[in-house]
Amino acid sequence: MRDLFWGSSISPVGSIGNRAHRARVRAPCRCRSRRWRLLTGPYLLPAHLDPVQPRYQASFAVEVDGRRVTAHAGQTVAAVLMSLGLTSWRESGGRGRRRGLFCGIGVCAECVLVVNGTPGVRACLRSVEPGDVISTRGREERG
Amino acid sequence: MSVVVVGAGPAGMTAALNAARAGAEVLLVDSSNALGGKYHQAPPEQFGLAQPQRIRRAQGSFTTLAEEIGAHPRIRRLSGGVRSLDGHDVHVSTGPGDAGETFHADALVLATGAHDRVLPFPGWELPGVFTAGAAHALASGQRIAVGSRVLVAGTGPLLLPVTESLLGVGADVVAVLDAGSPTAWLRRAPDLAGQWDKLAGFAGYLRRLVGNTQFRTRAGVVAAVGEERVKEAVVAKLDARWRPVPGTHRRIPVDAICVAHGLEPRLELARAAGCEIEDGFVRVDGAQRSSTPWVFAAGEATGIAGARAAAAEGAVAGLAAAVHVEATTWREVEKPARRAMLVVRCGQRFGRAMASATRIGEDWNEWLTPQTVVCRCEEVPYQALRDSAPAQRDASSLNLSCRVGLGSCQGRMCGRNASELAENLIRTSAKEPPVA
Repeated sequence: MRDLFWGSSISPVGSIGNRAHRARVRAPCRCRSRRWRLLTGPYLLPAHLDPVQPRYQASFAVEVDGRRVTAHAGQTVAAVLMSLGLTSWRESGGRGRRRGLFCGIGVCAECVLVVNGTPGVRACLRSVEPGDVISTRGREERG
Repeated sequence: MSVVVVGAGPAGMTAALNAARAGAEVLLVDSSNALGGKYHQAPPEQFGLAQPQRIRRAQGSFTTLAEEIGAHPRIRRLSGGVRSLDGHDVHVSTGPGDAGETFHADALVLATGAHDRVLPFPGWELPGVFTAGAAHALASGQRIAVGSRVLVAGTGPLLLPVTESLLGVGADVVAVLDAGSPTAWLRRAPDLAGQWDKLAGFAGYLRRLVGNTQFRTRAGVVAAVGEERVKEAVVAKLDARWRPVPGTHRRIPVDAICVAHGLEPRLELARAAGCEIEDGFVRVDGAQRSSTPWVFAAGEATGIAGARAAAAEGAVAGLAAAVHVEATTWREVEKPARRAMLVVRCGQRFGRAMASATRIGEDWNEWLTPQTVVCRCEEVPYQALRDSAPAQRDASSLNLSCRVGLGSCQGRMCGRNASELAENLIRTSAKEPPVA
């Protein structure tokens, strides 16, 4: 990697795993394959690549826009959506621009969405529960 | 004899424990189920971590503290948000809708902490632009990387731990750009000299970042480019007043940008309790008592000085609150309180040095365009502010004329930026009288 302001050798394609991380993860795996190398956007670090070695105690299905996806107990709604690679799940009230998570700690109300029919749920704070129906299509009403 | 502690971060934990040890009945309220706040953020228990010590800072001391709080008979924990404050009655919402409980507080300890401050730049409302705190919370709390190629920008020592947690979940951090200058830290060297643990901590962060990313000072992100989401970041060198240096703009392909320009204390409850606010923080005396006699404040709400100072402030506030509710006497707690006060004073000195070293440049508005959104919730562009600001006499009347800060975040993200911009605009318009 060359200096940012003096010529660039930065490749346009994202890849999972930086040097420090690769050094800590022992066995090579399929995640190094092409699919992961071409990855862009947010992702959930696969458990077998994670230095803290999570062993999810419970996994269950939730529904995201009619699609059944697997979620782990303890994940927030935002984490479930971002593990699917989503960055935005709302349209702003005024100009209808896409919006997603911003502050991540329940301050900004950017990440609100509809869960089980209840609007205005903060995705960054709400933990998923089995059978949750999450909708990312709801357009915010301007109050 | 009841003490309500709001916030279970480093300050709130020590406040609750010290008040309970001194004999008070304590209710510890936090929005999260877990103890530790954002500083000690870790994945939830259900993730079943085999190696949790690789993620949490100061794991040993945190575990002993958390165990003691969990086992203490006089501490009750509640996860929920404080909805309102009505005299000595604290309403806590514990679920969706109107579910909630009301508690009587003889003394209240506010350890509400802080959130990131983010200066607006063109495109900052695009999905893929996060606060650095969000990236940190997702990485260390949920094992989510906000992007595969991430740019970290802003100012302050917070950027380094955020970068480390991003690297820890395998994200490629393209660069870390600090708009501040290293000479500002050097000038403050005498005040920093006593804080060896902090300096060692920063050195450790820097050492771990070498080879994995590049660290630049006096540079920042001036725009984010993309349609539905961030595709590119425009970065530039910044001068001492944070004006982008012409000709140094570079476009970097990224899929996430994490930004933090320092921290902003959370003061809603302090304001609701009628505490006096001085220079953006709750004004407290030596015993962490605010101008409202039964309300105490600790941690980042009283000044940004780091976790160790926050924990010491919490200890002082907890003991003082216990004395206030007459669970104990000052003579009995004087010795531990004085010891904690010493740490508080060191921390405050460090905090002041850090605040002046990471000061925000005066001319950051140079990178704004007329279309740049200043208030994210109400999507107020900078142009609207420019149109209405000169007609106002002071910044506080601004929100009524152009809806800045009236959105769902209640001005928590944009309030300070908007008033700074407005003051700037009012000042310049006073200097140049309008034509005819």
